[in-house]
Amino acid sequence: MISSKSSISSGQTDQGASRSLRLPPSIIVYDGPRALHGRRLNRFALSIRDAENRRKFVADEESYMRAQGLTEKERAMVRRRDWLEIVIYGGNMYAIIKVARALGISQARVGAQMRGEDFDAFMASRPVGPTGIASRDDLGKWRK
Amino acid sequence: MARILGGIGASHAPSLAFAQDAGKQNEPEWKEIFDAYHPAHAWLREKAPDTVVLIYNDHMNTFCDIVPSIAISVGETNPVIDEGWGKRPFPDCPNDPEMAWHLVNHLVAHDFDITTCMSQQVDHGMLTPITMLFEPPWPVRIIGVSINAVQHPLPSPRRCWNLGREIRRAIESYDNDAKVVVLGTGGLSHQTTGSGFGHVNPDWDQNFMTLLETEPETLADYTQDEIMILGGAESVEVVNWICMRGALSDQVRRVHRFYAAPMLTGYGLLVLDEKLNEES
Ligand SMILES: [Fe+2]
Repeated sequence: MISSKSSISSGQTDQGASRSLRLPPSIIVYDGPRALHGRRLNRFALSIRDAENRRKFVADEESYMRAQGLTEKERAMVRRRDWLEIVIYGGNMYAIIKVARALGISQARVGAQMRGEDFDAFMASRPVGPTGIASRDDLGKWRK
Repeated sequence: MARILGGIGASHAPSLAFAQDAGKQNEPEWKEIFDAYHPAHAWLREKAPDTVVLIYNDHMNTFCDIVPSIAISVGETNPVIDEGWGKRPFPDCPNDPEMAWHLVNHLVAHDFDITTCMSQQVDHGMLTPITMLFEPPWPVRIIGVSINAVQHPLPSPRRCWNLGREIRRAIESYDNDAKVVVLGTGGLSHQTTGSGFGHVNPDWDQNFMTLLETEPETLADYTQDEIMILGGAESVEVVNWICMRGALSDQVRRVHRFYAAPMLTGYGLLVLDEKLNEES
């Protein structure tokens, strides 16, 4: 069954029960409920692959988003640049990154914001060091 | 009959394309990575393949409302598109429709329900590795095999491995003397979405490359969920490498292996040569 809106407010949708592991909320699975819920946002984001649409969006975000049929709630998330809320809601980052980049916001900045981290602090965490988690044998704590 | 000369696994991260287009190949943070492609160039020059079967995943650029689990490009060309930040200055990629339709016929006859796509648009999943490995005018024809790695439910690693096995049998039954390289693109570890953004796991990536070379079928037993936790939510596209490896034999010789994870993605490059071809 496709979920109601309320069931996708956290990390996993109601389709999480069929998964093989207990996924942490830091992993947002783009599945049926999210694809359905996020369809307007994703179509809007994909529309700005067209250079003329990109120009129209950047020149007047609000009018462009209205013309694309986004709801007030969806427009508000874009207005606030709330990337984490957008992807939990059902925006797919492969589509939504086109919106961010059109607005001059890099993927690393989008990412730092989704992590709730200061950009410079996030950049200082690179490169990532050894994790000690090298195979499926190391995944005990996520098993159901 | 057509022959598989070997396989290549290569990341397709847009960051490589941005660095390339900005001419940063010799800058300190990029030089090691771009130089790592030189042995792959030399191997490709020596082998001179006619056709590349390119196993990749689209990123909502061709498939959004309609999302096929497995699609194959069967038209004359694969057009390069503007993904939303300007079209890269590269020519469209010529397809090999005759071999592509042979693959489709063979795979459907062997229980793989393939979506055919007359105009499979070339996003970074195809174009990044093509431009890292070749220079225009493209010296090879490119058959795009797209596996859904975006909208769950996704084909399992086992399914992708089996697809690779069947692609091998399809190529080997193709009545044409074409020389073929199989290229799997994507990964390695990375996560672009949510509070786990930036997840990179060099330990897993290195182990993945070792297993892929030496015990590849163990990777078919992984689940997509295991891959997501090990390598990040978007690293599920490593099934493209698993499929590529499925199309190779047990007799491969490693020509080249490289790995670096300076920022947001584990960049992997692996070149495997079919030993048997050397003797034939
Ligand atoms: Fe990708």
